[in-house]
Order: sequence, then structure tokens, then C-alpha cells
Amino acid sequence: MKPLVKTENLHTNFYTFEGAVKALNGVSIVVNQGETYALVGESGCGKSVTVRSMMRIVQSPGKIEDGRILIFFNEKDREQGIDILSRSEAFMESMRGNQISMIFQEASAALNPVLNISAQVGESFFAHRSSEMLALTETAIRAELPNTRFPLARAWKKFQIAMYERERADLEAYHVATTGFDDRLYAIEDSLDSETVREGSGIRRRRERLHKTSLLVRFVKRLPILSHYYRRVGRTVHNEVVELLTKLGIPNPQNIAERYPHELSGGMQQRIVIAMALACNPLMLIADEPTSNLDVTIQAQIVELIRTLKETVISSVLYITHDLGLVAEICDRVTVMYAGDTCETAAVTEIFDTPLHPYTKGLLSAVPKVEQQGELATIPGSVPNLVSPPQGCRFHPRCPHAMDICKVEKPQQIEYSQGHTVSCHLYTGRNSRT
Amino acid sequence: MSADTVAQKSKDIIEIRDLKKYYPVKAGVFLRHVADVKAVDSVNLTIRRGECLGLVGESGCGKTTLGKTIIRLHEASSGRIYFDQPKQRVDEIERQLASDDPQQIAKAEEVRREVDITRLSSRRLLALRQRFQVVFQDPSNSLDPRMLVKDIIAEPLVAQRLSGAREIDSRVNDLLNIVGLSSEHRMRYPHEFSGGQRQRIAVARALSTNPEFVMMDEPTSALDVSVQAQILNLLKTLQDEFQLTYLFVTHHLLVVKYISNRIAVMYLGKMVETSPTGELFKSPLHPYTRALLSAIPVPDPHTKREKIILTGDVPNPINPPSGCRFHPRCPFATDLCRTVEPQLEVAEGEHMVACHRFREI
Repeated sequence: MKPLVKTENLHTNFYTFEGAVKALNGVSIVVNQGETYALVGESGCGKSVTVRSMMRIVQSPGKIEDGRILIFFNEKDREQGIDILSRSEAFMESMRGNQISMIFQEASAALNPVLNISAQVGESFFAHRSSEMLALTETAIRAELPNTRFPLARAWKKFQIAMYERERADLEAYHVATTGFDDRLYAIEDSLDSETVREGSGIRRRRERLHKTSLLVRFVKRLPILSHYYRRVGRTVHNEVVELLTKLGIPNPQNIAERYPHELSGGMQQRIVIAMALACNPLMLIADEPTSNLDVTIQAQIVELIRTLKETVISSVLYITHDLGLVAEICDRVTVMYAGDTCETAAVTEIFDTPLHPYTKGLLSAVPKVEQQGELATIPGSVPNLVSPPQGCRFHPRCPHAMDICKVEKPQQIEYSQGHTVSCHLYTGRNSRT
Repeated sequence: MSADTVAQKSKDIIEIRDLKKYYPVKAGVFLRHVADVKAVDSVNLTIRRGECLGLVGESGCGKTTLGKTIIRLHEASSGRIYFDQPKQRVDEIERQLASDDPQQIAKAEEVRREVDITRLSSRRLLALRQRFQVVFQDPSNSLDPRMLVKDIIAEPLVAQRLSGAREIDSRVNDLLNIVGLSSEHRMRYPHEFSGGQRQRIAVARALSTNPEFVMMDEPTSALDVSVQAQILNLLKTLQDEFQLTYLFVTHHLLVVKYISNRIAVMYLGKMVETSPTGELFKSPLHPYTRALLSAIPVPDPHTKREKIILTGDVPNPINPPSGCRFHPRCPFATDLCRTVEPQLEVAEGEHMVACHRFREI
């Protein structure tokens, strides 16, 4: 299977007053094309920080300190992938919401209370598909033109068409320029001598200063009355939004698009957030606890929605969750995280049937089952403070099998069997094939 | 506890009859009363001594409101809640209230002022409050951040004037040990503890007055899986040790299955099904319960079950659907369901359900 996104040895720290919180301690995960992948762990284990790092939206005082994040979106010349950590912010902006998009945990907090649904969902259309929207509007106006008799109206329509053409040309030029810069950056990515590094940062700065539209268009948009030419695009976007909402099976989309977030129920808000994420047909959808605040029956609806979308629209879905039930039902592969470390990665059935890492075992037996026999097993103690995490394996103070080596040395990730990797000293130097 | 007080204890610790809790909706300049949010609407429920009754339902169905009304954190709009009253007495009051004779009703009202939690005077209620306690959902909100742990745990004792200053210290130490903390934790503030430890403190506080009944309002929903297991086990051992009765309010069905003997399912302010736990999971009768149970994500990749996915959202409790409140989402709804409201009826043994068609479907 081909990888889609890959992180290598990712370290992210948060610099707080109490000291550096080492939230990620060398996280390496791979999300393959066409799979549903899950990151599981308790709160504070760094699963959200991992995906935020992958989208480069770690908030201050957080910083990605070390590691690589590779994306394999373009198949042509990107055998080894693009390392997005060395890319410019402008590149990331063109990426987020377009090729990778994210559903945030709390839908009510992710939506802007002062904008209506149409405006919020339409934002990604404006940001990433504006050229397409302009073309749509243009064809619509061109179709109306022969029927328009009134000369002033004709002139206005012609003006609109001219402006849209101009703008599209600008966007095209912008696209060419940015890809040119990106290619140059890509070419000098791996070199380390100071000359090229300086050149690279120069290119990056110039790329960020590029404008999407020309001076003329920006000027016209500020003129009274004439600036109204752009409103027609807004209407096109609104229609697109309604179409998208219909596609997601939202009842009464015309009405919903004009409402404000507070008028909608929690499940409906979550559907709107999903619609926002899917506006540009992303390759990968990151769902950060998409259902943790919803009721079971609504949760089932949302999960079903994402599952059908996965089959039709999106390539890969990365779920972040603490609900092992959800993982068992919908995911193909899963990584268990603990205190910023990846403990174990395997196919879902394998994790549930033959868990290897002591933490995975503890986690699985701590969940109430349908056929629960006897007492629930618990993991003694609680999650460590990551300002001063335990030395060696971060799980060792709670681990029933802790050995001397666990206290000093961080276990390496080893492949125990095909597709099943584990980081634990119990298995170091052993695998099922030997 | 001496032998004769035990003999006096009734089998049913709490009897809820026709309980309603409406929140008024006010609008306009004069804040005219325009409608009611019917959070709890005509609920009948019996909680038996020594059992753990799980109260489940979706958010907004009124389960927390019901729990809080029982211990009178909310004033009930109407209805009776009898705490630890003999069956005959409850029946008699109910009979008197149901009769047409105004004299009989007046007599019953007189008695209710002594036995009905919704009517007790504040002094009587205070005395009764040591027998029922509560543990709230989020321990970081339910513990005062400015109080030391020992003061938090001792507060009910002080308020109830249960023990003198000297005994309080040893009592607090005992309670800390009971919930799995140690006496060195007593001089700390809540923020110094993890979520699980904070919930243990909240449990210790609830146990400080030796209650008989504890209302648990989603005590584990703010906790992580491994910590949740610790708290659940703690609650179970405490129940055995102190013969407690729990009302366990939660939306997590597997948790409720693990801890409770009996489950009551609520939907939109109404009780739709009550049943012993095993039977409910084996043969749910109400279509809502079935959908709820089938929607639980099962932590086992080998069981792929057929899911019943309900369409639509929970309706607005200001203006609930006519007839059976579940009918707009119910796949089996008929005209009867749209017009006539089903009452809770006995299906089999202790299994009660409020549905017109549970026998056919």
C-alpha cells in the first residue's frame, strides 16, 4: 500500500512557564492511501498535537522541534514525498482545507457564531476553488447575455465577464508563479550550504508576498457600485454550498444554509463542520474526536456519514479518538499512543486479538465490554506530567512488566510481525518470524 | 446501625410518583410566560434499597434533571417523591390524593409535608440530606478551588453538625483511605490532583455523612478510560461495603451495564423502559432502546452488528410530539402512536415498557 502522509521522529514541545512540555517524543506514523486510520490514547497523550503538527497548526507556545512530515499527494515526481516542515506558510495555506482538511472536536466551537452557515462553508470555495467559481459565474452570465436587451444591463454584464476573465487570468498567473517557486524550493530542499539556504528563505519570502489578484482587480473591488460585480460569485458559491449540503444528506439545505450555528443541534453542527472540511474534496480528512460530544444515536449517524464519504469522496480518514469501540467498528489500522510515544501500531483485528504492548493490554481490559466478566482491570497510577516525563520508556512507572532497562532507555520501534510494530523492551530483539 | 432501625427500613428507598419538572420559557418585554420546557414529564420510578439503578438517555432527555429533582437540587413542578417510606403509607397517601373528597386530599397534603421530599420544610430537608448525597459530573467544577481537600471533605460534616472538631480529622483520614487516597493528601488543593483523584475526593465528600442513597451524575464521563475503570471499581466496592443505593445517571451504556442491576431508559422527559440490566441487553422491547443498544460502538472488531440508525434529532422538549414522543423517529410508528400516549406497562416480570406495539415488533 502506498503511503499518503508519513511522520518521522516528530518532536513537538510547548514552552510554558513551568518548563518545556515534551508533548511528542519521536512520533512516527504512516497513513496509507485509502485506509481509515486511528490514533488512540487517553487525553494528554499527544494525539491531537500529532495531527496539529501534521497540518502545521500547533499553537504558540508550541513548536515543532525535530522530525519530518512527508506528504505524497502528487504522484508524478514525488517518490520521496514533500517535507512540509521546510515549506513556506503560503504553501501550507494552499494545502490546508484543500488536500488535507480537519474536523475539530467541538463543532460548536469550530463554527463562527456571527456568520451564517452558507458564509462559513463557502469560505473554502473562495479560498481554494475561486477560479472554478469565477468560471461557473461567467458561463452563467454568458448564457444570460443574448436575452438581455437593455443596453445598460448588457454593458454591466460585459463588464462582469471582463472582470472575471481578468481575475481568472490573475489566479492562473499566481498559480504558475507559486508552483515555480515551490519547484525551486523543492530542488534546493535537501542542500545544507548557507548560500542555498539563504536563497531558499528569499524565495519563500517572495512567495508569501505574491498577491492572488492584480492591482486593477483589487482597486475595482474597492470602488463603490462597481465593486458589486463580485456579488454574483457569492451567489454561485451559495448555490454550491446548498448542493454540497444536499450531497451530505442534510434535510432542508436551502433553509439550513441561511441559519446561524446556534440555531442548529449538535449533530447538525457537526455535519456542517464535515461539509466545510469536504468542500474541496480533500485527499485526507482528519477527524479529531468528531463524535465525543454527541449522543450515541447521533454518533452512529455521523460515523455512518463519514464512512460513506470515505467510500465515495475522500481517500484516507485519520480518526483521533479515545473510544475503542469506535475504532473497532470503523478503522483499518490503529496506533496506540501514550504520553507522546507511539506504543503500538497494527491492523485493528490484530490490536484487539493480540495486543503486545502492556499499555495496549491495560487499555483494552479497562474498557467495559458487552459481555463483561468479573471486575474491570485497571492501570494503576495516572498519566505523567510531560514537563518532566519519566526517563526511558514513559510508561514504565505504571507498567507491570517494567525492567531495569525500561527506566533508562527509550525502546525502539520494532516490527514484531508483518504490519505490527511495537515499542517495548519486552519485544526488543524478538520477532515472531525468528 | 441497630437491629430495629434496619427492620424499619423500607424495601424501596425512593418512590417517585407522577413527577414533573417544567422550566418556564419567558418572552417579551414583561417576560410573559409563553411555554414550558418539559424536562421531566410524569415520571414514575421506584428505587430499591441496595440496588444501582442506571438512568440512561440522550443529552437533553431530562435524566440529570430527574436526578437533581429527586434530591431537591431543583424544585419539582408537581409530583411526589417519598424517601424511605413504608409501602402501605405511600399507597394510602396516593389513594387519598386520587380520591375526589377534598377532606381526604387535605389530609394527604398534611402528611405529605412530612414525608414528601418535594414538600419538606427546609429544616426537615436538612436533617434528611445527610441520608442522600450526590457526586457530580466534572470534579474540576464541583470542588471549590480555594478549599483544602480536608475542608472539602469535612464540609458536609460541619454543615450537618455531625461531629466535633476533634473527630473530624480522623473521619477525614478514614474517608481518604476508603477512596484510595492517603492522609498526606489532606493539605492540598484540588488543582494539585489529576481528574481521577479529584473524582475520588468528590466521592469521599459524598460518603462523609454515611448516606444511604447517592446520586451519581455522570461520574466518569470526564475521565479517561483507564481512570474510569478505577473509579467504577471503587464505586462498586463502596456500594458493597456501605450498603449504598446508587442512582447512576449516564449516557454511556457499557458503563451502566457494568455497574447497575437495573436500568431505566428515558426519552424526552418520559420513562420508556425499565428492566433488569441483563434482560434489557438481551431483549430490549422499546424501539428506542433497541436503536440505542445497537448504536453502542463495541470494542471488538469481530462483532459486526446490524445497526439501527435513527433518523433525525431529538425533538424540542418545549413542544414535544403528540402521542408517543418517539414516533417521529420510530420505524414502527402507526396512527395510534401519533395520537395516544403509551403508558409504562409490565411486559414480563420486572420489565416495563411504554410502547403500543412492543408485542408485535
